[in-house]
Amino acid sequence: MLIKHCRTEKYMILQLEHVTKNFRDQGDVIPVLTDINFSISAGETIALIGDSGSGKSTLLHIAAGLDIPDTGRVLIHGQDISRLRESDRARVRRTDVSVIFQQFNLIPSITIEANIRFQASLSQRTDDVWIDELVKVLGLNAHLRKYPEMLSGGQQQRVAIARSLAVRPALLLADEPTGNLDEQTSDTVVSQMLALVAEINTSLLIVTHSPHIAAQMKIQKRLQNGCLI
Amino acid sequence: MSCIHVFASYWLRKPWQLVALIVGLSIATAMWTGVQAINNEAKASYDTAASLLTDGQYDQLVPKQGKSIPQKTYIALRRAGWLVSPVIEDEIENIRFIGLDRATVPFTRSHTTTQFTRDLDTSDSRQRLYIHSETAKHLELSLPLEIDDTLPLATVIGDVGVIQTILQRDDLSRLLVSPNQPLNQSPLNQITNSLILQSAQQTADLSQLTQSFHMNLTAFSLLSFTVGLFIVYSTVGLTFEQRNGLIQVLRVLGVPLRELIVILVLEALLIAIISAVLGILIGYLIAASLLPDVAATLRGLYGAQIPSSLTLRGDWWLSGIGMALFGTTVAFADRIWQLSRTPLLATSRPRLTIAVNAIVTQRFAYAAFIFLCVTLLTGIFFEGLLAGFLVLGGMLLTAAFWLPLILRWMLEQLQRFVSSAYLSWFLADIRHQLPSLNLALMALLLAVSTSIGVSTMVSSFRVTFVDFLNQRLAPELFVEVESVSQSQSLINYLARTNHEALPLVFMTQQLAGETVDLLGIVVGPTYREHWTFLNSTDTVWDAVDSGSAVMINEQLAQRSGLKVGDSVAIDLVGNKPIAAIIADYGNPNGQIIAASGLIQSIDDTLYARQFGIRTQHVEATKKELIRAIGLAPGQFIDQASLKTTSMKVFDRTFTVTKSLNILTMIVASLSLLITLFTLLNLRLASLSIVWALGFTWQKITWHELVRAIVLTALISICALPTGLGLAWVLLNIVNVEAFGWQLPMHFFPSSYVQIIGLALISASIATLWPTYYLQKNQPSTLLKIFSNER
Repeated sequence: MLIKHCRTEKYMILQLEHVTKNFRDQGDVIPVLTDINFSISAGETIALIGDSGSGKSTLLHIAAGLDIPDTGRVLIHGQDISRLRESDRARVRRTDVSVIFQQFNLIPSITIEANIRFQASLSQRTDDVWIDELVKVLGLNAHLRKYPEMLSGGQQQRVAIARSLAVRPALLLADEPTGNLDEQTSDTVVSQMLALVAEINTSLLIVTHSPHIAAQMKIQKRLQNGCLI
Repeated sequence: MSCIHVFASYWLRKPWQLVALIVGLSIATAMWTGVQAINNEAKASYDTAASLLTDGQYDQLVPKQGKSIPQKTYIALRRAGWLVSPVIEDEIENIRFIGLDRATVPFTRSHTTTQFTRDLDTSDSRQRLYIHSETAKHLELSLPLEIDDTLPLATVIGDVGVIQTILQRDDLSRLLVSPNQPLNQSPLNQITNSLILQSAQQTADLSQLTQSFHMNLTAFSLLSFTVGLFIVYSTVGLTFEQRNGLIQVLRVLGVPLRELIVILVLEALLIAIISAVLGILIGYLIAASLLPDVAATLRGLYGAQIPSSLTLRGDWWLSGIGMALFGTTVAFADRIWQLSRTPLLATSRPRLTIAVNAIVTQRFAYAAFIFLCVTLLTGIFFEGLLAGFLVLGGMLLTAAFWLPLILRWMLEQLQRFVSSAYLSWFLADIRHQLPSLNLALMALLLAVSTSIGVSTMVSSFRVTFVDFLNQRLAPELFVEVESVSQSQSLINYLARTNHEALPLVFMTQQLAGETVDLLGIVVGPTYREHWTFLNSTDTVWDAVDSGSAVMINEQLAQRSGLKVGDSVAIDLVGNKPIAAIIADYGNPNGQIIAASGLIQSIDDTLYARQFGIRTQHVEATKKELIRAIGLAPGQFIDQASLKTTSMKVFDRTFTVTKSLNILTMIVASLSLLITLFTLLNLRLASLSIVWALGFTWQKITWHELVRAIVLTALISICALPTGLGLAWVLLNIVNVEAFGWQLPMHFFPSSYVQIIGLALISASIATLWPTYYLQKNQPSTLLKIFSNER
């Protein structure tokens, strides 16, 4: 097996401390997240479940450094990314955290191979052997020269997984990654993703509506009206 | 009704797309109507001038040389049975005074609607002068004035005797020949040898003379209309694609397709009408600002007087509305037809797909190939000014439709040399955006190519014209004498004082149904050193000097198909071989140049009326000639003022062309701006992905600006050969057909750098606004792209 970084100690990858986020709509303040405290250690897999509008995606965006909280701290490897400049947060997104979206969000103008290598190349962490393995495990060998539009939804999501794992992130955040897939494809994609994150000891935080997928994670957390219960 | 509300709400939510459509169509209409307004104004002036009588309606008797007919010649002709009517005509301070004889003038009241013709039979109107109200404001005359706004500007009409008094002359300028002549009249040469009969078709018809100039303007306005149309077509395409989903939902909900089509047609009609009104108003402003330069050009080039203020005319209101409707129909028809054929459950195709990109590029390449074939066939098999413009248009469209393919290829080649993932994505992203930007980029290519082409033509013309002036205006001083004795005294004086004199003898004759100028020269060192030829024999000067050969100008060579070695027939002299063809820019007439002795052998009353004098001391020579021969100061023209005047006329001639050129560049930049704005939402989505993968938003959005610069630079690479090709066609086909002269082509790299620089700045400015708009997006907006609840 190709385990390059084996983290045996309980090492905290992500810590959210007293995170609060409100949205403002025409003068009204709408609380989205209220005093969230939450952490993920290396190699841990957590499912975040909750109703629509409960704040799951907002929490994920804050954890990814795509958004910043109104109050509280977001620590990645012990560093508060909510206090970082935009350029430093961009570096964290390039190197330590990867995100998989429900809409796949592949870059339509470049080939599948270029898409897979894109983030790893940006962070100068291209590992050809690892990428080859990702391609093989995810069954993308026949599609490398194609463009995203030529692939099915399931195939596109596998490309998104390959792209996000090619960089060997410490943390993988997945926002309803199988929301657009049928049940069988969804099961395959999730099991492939779990096997791969386990291989490189990457932590996984997955937002899902599906109890079936949530059950496959080590820990399940529920978000309700902006509070973790 | 609820459907109309749904469609209206779309525009309310996307006001920029609506603005883009209306602005695009308005500008296209404005450029068209603006130029049409100028053309119509000028044509109306020509019609008024022609209807007045003098130009192009009747045969005329004109002097063989000079501008004067003695009254006794007129009386002799009348006595011999010639039904002729005297006309005196001259200019004082740019006002044209025309005197006509009420008793003999060949036209009747029914011919025209001017007050002068209506008053023909009124005896108390004899002392009146007829004048346009605008001209009257600038003229102080003691005689009673009759305001008549149907008269041309800067023109005063009156009785021949009254005008002769004002002009302080007792001679006539020409004689109008009545169409009904008695059968038994004596032949002209038995009465006088000093006049020549000029048929009505040969007299200067302003609308014919200026046809090429107006055609030039029309061609430019059509180009601008095409550029504007690109904006509309592109925006309409985008709005239809974005509304595909909405239309599908409405159909699923039970709205009949026919009703949807009716609503879309009404929507198009409404947009067309709003755009037409706006376009006509903008066109009016463009025309009003350009008209003074057009007026100056027409006056300088053709002596045509047109007003420098505009009149709102019904015909160009209609032409504007027609063009707006045409533009809308072109843009909407294809989309509505596609909609009518789309099955209810067909999924709407995504816009920016690789497959669509390939199909669009392929279709454009086919269209380019068809345009190329049409251009080549027109160039090979057809002649004339219209064919020249067709070649020009075909060439531009070929380049424009090939652009997407060439840009794609260029970007692919660039990508091969790039190793960084970001740069590779950047280039691939540009390539991916091409189908959406195609039309705006094609418009930019047209604008930059035209700028390069027109700049090359104008600058080549300028260089040639300056050389030509230096050649023709080599003598430092020019003198026009008034009599044979003054001419002889001047020749004697110049010979005595060892000045090189270049006397000119001038007359006209008929050649192949055309009036041709005959110019007699005395070959001397100045001619031998300064004159250059388009084509000549080795011994041209000796042959012309000895009277055994002649030279002709390019206009005559072009019209009569003559070349060096051919012969030309001169009255009473016979055939003379052509030893050289000379350039003669700005002269609409054919000209034969021969030794003055040869010309004088035709008519021994001819004498040298004009002289070029070589002197180092212009002022001293002037003073000496005034003292010794009694010349008046007004008889001198110095070289410097002639050159300045000529260059002024030249520069104003191209002011309008340059202005239209700049306007086209602005339209193209607007096209880019509007396209980028309409694409903002799509850009936001695709750029957000790269942002999420670890780039700062600022860096990504600034690269939008870099993208515009890269694309403009690539377009400029394509525009350079296209523009030079355009210049070649303008210089070698259009100019030859329009003016009868061919111009050598020169290259002006610094101008090209300036034009490309201007294009880069325009494109950057056009991108700055959308870039700023993208940049000020907060992360919350970008997050919506990834939010499942969006």
